[in-house]
Amino acid sequence: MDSERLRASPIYPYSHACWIRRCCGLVELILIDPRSGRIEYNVNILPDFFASLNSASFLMANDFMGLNSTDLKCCFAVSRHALILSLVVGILISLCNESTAWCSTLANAENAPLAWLDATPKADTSETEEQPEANSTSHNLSSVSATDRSQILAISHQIDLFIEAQLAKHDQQANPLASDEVFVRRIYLDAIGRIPTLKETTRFLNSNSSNKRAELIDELLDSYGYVSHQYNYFADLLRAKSRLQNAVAGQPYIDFIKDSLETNKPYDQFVHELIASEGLLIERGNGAVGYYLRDLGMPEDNMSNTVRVFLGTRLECAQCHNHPFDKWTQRQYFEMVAFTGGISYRDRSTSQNPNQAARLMRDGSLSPTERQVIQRMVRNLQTGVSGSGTGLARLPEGFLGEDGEEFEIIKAQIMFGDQPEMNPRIPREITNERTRQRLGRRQQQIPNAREIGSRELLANWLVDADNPRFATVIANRMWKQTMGLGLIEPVDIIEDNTIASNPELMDYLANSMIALDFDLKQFLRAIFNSQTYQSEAFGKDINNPAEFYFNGPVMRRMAAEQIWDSMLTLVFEEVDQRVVPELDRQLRLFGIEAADIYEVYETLREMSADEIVDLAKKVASGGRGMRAMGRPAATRGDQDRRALIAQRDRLDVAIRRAKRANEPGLLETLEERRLDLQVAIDKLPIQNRGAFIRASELPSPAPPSHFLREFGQSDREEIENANSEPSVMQVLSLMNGFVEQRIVNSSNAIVLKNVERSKSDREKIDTVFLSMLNRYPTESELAVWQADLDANPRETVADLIWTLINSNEFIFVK
Amino acid sequence: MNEVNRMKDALCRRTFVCGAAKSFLGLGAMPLLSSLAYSAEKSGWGLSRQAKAKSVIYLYMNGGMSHLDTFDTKPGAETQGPVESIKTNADGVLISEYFPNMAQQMDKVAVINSMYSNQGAHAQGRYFMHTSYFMRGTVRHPDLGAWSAYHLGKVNPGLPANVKIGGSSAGLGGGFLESEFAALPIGDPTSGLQNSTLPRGISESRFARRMDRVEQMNREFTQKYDTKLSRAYTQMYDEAVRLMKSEDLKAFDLNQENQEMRDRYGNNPFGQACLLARRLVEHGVRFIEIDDGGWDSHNENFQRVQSKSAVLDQAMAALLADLAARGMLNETMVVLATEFGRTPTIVDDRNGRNHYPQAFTCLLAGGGFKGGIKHGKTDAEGREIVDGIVEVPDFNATIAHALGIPLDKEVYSPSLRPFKVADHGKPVLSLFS
Repeated sequence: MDSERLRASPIYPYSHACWIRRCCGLVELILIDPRSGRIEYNVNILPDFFASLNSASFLMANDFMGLNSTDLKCCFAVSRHALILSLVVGILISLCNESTAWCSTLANAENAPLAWLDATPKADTSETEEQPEANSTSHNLSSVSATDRSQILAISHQIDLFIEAQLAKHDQQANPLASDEVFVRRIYLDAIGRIPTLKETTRFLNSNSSNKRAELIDELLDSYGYVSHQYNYFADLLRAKSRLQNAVAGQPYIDFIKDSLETNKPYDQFVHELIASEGLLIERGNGAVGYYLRDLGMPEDNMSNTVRVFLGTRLECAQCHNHPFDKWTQRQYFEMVAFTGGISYRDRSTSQNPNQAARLMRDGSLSPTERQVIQRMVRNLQTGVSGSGTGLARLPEGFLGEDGEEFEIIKAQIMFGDQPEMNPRIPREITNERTRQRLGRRQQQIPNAREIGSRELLANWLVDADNPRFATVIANRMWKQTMGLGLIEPVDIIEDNTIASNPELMDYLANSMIALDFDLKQFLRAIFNSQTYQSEAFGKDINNPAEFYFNGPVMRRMAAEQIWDSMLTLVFEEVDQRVVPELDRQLRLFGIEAADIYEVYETLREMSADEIVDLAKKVASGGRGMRAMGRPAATRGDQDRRALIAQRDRLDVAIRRAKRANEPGLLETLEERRLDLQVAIDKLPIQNRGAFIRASELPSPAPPSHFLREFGQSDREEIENANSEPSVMQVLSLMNGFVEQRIVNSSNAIVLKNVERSKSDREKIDTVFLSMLNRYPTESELAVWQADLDANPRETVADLIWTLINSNEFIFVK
Repeated sequence: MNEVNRMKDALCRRTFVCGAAKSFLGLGAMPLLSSLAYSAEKSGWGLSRQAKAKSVIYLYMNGGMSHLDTFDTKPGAETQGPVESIKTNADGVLISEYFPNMAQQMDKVAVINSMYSNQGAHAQGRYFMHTSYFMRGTVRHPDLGAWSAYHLGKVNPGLPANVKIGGSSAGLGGGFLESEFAALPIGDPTSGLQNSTLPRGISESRFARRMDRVEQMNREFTQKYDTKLSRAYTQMYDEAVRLMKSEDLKAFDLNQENQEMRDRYGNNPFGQACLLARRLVEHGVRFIEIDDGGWDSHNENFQRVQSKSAVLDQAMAALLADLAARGMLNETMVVLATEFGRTPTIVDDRNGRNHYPQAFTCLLAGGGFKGGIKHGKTDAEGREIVDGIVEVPDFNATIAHALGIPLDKEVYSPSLRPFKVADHGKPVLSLFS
């Protein structure tokens, strides 16, 4: 807030100012400290509350602080004490004692309930009874309760207030609200990661509901597309790979992320599980241990990654020396590493059978293939995470700091905040020189260290609502994901002196994240419902993010996955389903038929070492189908698919006949049946896994020369390694490759089918524009393409599709 | 100042809003800028000498090529197994009988028998070999191809600087550098550059009409939405169209070579890739890596090495002879590299050799290196290096030095950590002619 102007206002020198605004059926009351200009306190009050009040008296100051006059503002002076305890009841009643025009327009219910969101730091939301069930699944989340909704809308609205206030301060205006055409494309891309289909587009554009944007947001957040889209984000952040080191299956880690998103697991719980979990990776439900296995053998790097991803700070410099730009010392770094001390990448709970099998493997009589098969089985049966943490670490060889010596054993200490209570015990060092030398290769190890559960303590500290960074970082990340730019940039180099471009909003978002119990879906719902999000995009270069105040969301290039999934939307129906339906979940691995990979290994775990070896022999001598390792072999799905395709082909013949016979009624019925059939075929598993399924269901990462990688999908080697830079290969692929082969020349592409059904040229052009850019063509576009259609009816539709995909408007989200 | 700009570019690689990094630079730029100026002054190895090599053809034997059974034979030693040694056209240089063609080209080759690494697992070894740094979970280092593109730029502005043919999923080597420096991937060497020709049935006039319509669309879009990135995409279309029309596109087309030439390199993916690499060098591509997998001979080592060697022998010998005949060898460096050697002890039960990083062999040829020599030595059983140790970063420093890349120049990752082309490696100066 502009403290200069505040001082010049008539209410100064009273200690606090209060600013009230009414909008969208809500009333905000914001308390401002006139000295710092900082917002200290704000509440949202449902208008119903005012209905029980009959009057208000306050000082109207419409021009106060240069806010735009459509808002209702008032400022008044109060003592701080009075506010703290009696803010809502006392102040507002006294405020509203004398009726004013705006108060009387409010709802007229009597004794209406009061719902409010306390946004002060450390808000204790547990007292609010209407909190959403933390663990509710996506299925019943669709019914966002009225109270939840008011809480969400209150946040949305509060976001707008903070944005407006800051824009006003810098003499800027918010962009106008985006049209429905722009909105529908953007919300599909941001909520479920692809453009809407023709049907979805027209359904929304034609809807007369006054609340249709909010309704669409709810619908999208509850679809599987949401999981798919968010998975792509977290797979980049958490480097989720289909294959971990030593050919260990990465599927459990990927499943953990997807399942967590699908059940809308609170983010703090999700992170807690990543940091504190133990167990065998391949055992159902243990996927979280993949987080440590991703950095197998590199606990130091893992700690750097943890701090970077969840606390937005870089520690990796301090791995080798004191941090050159930040305050962290090398010793502090290893004190953090000590929390994960004693971690082992093998699951201890596993039976001895795999170990015995591994011993049998060295038996000379086994063939190389047999050995390979055993190795694959055994590795998966052993890999996991164990060790609850010793709270100890050894300073590295060549330690540079003055606050320690190389190889010194140190105790865990967190970077900031209150130290958790724990009592790591430093064991006596081995004195025998020979033993020490033998251990020399593994100097980092600390023999005889006692496990004290320090990983759990680390997790507790990390996700604690009192940890100032944790909520800020995820709130800022979600803001960036939807608005195109963080309030703090870069999102993961936050230092003590870092200031957000809108500090009040940043604080507010972090507190809202806590108030919402880290429910990411609700948090996104709040952003999506804000006017700020729904405004027209900002489409100019931003040279300094610290000086960008969000006139609207930032225009950005679609992520690789969004481009791929949008392309699929033009070709197939129903692309969102978690692509492997029950039918396809049959997989055959090592000759074991099972519903999924977990079941395969459950069966293997039951086997004795000899049985494992016998099975391996059988697998090794069997055909390809038997040997298929980790890849589902052909199943019933394949046969079904072939049968359906044969049926479709027969229908095609009938359709051609009906066309020739000029029987429009029959033709329509046949075509409808054909469409249904095609949908059924598309739903069936495609056995060729390089196939056309959503990016989130393809191997992670896609192979290096895949379309997705060409467009900048992360290689999953580094945190957030996706990029949106242009390259010649991308452009060549759009011009001469994918589009031509898969869309323009594929008679089954949905977009072409829809065009075929169009009754007039105008409708054809509309259909392509609505399918691809989700808007109607402009008059001049219509004229151009109408002329082309007249001149060359055969080629023009293909040219139009090609043109739209290759235009900037397709690839950029405005 | 160019360097400073590059550094800034590196900073904003992943966030297309460059300003994001700029405000950050405000905090940390000063020490960086001064250290850059400092390192430029010191300049070190690179700038004083005239680099001879312009291009690199980097043959990578993925899986760990046995040193004993290829270019570090130990006639008579028990560890040698059944493999005989043969004489070559270079005095005193014996190689394995598996390489009869290479035997006629060894006068062009410097054999380094004293390679040393401490990374005994494939992924880590491969990573170390390519980048000179250990694999870390926190940063990806660029490989030599990306460094070459970064430091030396393009020879031919119409073609990419860095190309990778075949190979693993290990990625394209750009590391933390901008993606423009990462390799352009080519899967099948015989099928040319993907999507670089007009689709069947699309005439040039129709293509031109399409492009015209796109420009029309973009003009309207640009009125309201106009960013550096959206302009970059427009430019990329110009570049792509230029490439499609470019004479240089022929560089990727092996059909331009006659059958005799194609046969000479070997009718297999690796042989054809070597031929393609020669064509790319001719057209001004800076760095071409060819990845040849399958050298991980834990089992039946001799069978496997023999069959792998047959392909390598034919292709590499043809490549060296061809480059020499065209007068290109002096400016073109041919490297034969791998992540580690194989254990001298033959594992009885499966006739195999395991991973062995503490002594292995790599080759350097052309590009201003001496030919017909051996550098370094292992003991009589090929177990330990007894002379002239060349650690992995030294090997890479040697290549970088030959290309004229300044070894001391520090380049900053987005997290502002300084990295050099070969870390602390020192070039083996005795290899230069």
